[in-house]
Amino acid sequence: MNSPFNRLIVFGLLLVLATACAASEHDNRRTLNALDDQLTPDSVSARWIAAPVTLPIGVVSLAVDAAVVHPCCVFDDAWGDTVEWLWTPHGASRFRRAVMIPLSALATPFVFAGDWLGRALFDIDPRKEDA
Amino acid sequence: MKLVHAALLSTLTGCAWSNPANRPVWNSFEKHLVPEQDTAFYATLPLTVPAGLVAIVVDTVFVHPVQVTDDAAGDAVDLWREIDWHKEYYTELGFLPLRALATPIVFVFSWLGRSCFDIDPRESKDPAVRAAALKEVAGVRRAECLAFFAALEQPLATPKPPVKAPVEWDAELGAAFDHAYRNTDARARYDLLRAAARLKLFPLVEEPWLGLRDRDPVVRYLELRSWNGKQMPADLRAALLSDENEMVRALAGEKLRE
Repeated sequence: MNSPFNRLIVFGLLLVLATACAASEHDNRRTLNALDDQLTPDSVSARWIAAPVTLPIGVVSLAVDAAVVHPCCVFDDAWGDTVEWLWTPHGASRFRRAVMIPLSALATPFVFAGDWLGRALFDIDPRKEDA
Repeated sequence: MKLVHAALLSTLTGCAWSNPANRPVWNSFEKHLVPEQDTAFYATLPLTVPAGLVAIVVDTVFVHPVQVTDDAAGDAVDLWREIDWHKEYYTELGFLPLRALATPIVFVFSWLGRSCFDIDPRESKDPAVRAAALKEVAGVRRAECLAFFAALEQPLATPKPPVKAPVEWDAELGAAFDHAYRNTDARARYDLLRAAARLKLFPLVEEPWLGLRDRDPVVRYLELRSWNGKQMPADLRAALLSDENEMVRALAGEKLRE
């Protein structure tokens, strides 16, 4: 259980389950939705016959959606959150803004990465301005 | 260390055991084998106490876990419901391995959770089974309420009120409530009023100021202290403002003057 390989498997499984959380939302599965719309066989028998080919395609598409497409699509939301939380004055005084600049600069990569990771893994609503 | 594990496990499963529906062996033992008559009750205690402990263990370790197996299976089967092969063919195929992976995990965790904690059973899809289950719940709650009313009439009794209100209020419950309210001492009446207010029993819904008309000034005072400022009949308000008891009168003056 403690070998690096086993740890990797456990970590991978946890990651798959976590990303499945985001992919459970219809709008977060762009590749699969496109395949469903364009390439679904019409008849039941065709669906059964095609299953040995379409099953791996479905699994890979889900993985691509969860690991690549959806995380890429939430970059702008994560950046929007970071700008709003760290770089939007919200009525703060000029002096306070000046003092906060280095702190905000320091926090920016962490806030952005954390927000992006959260949005990539979980089903979080997109920012309203982007909706 | 094993003892600690066993203690933790028994504490967890005790949570499920707290619901009467989850302890059929205990219920049956208590109903059929524990004598009601005082002498026999005390004389058989050396036998009934160990047997009761065994009943608890049997309920906790065997019967209740077996009872919840079908509910846990139902939870796992839920993962496979509403699969739309026609509209979401690739999506459903993509999720197929995850569903297969999650099914035993959901079953095991659901079974463990349902074995240890008091989780409501799943509602059956069959209307007849669902109606029978609802009827059973209604019967249990009604019986608990009637038992509480009857127990209040025992001298110096402080019975535990039911956790949930009866599903429907009927004439027999109404008569039992009235009888208990008329024939109990002030402390029991106050317990009855508090329980009825918490459970929103019909007599308190119909007449929320019932306790303010109580014959005992302490009950009137306590009820007035928790009175939430709702409307009340003018005659009752006037009676409280000129109550024979000085404390009630003073509190009424404080809370009811406009």
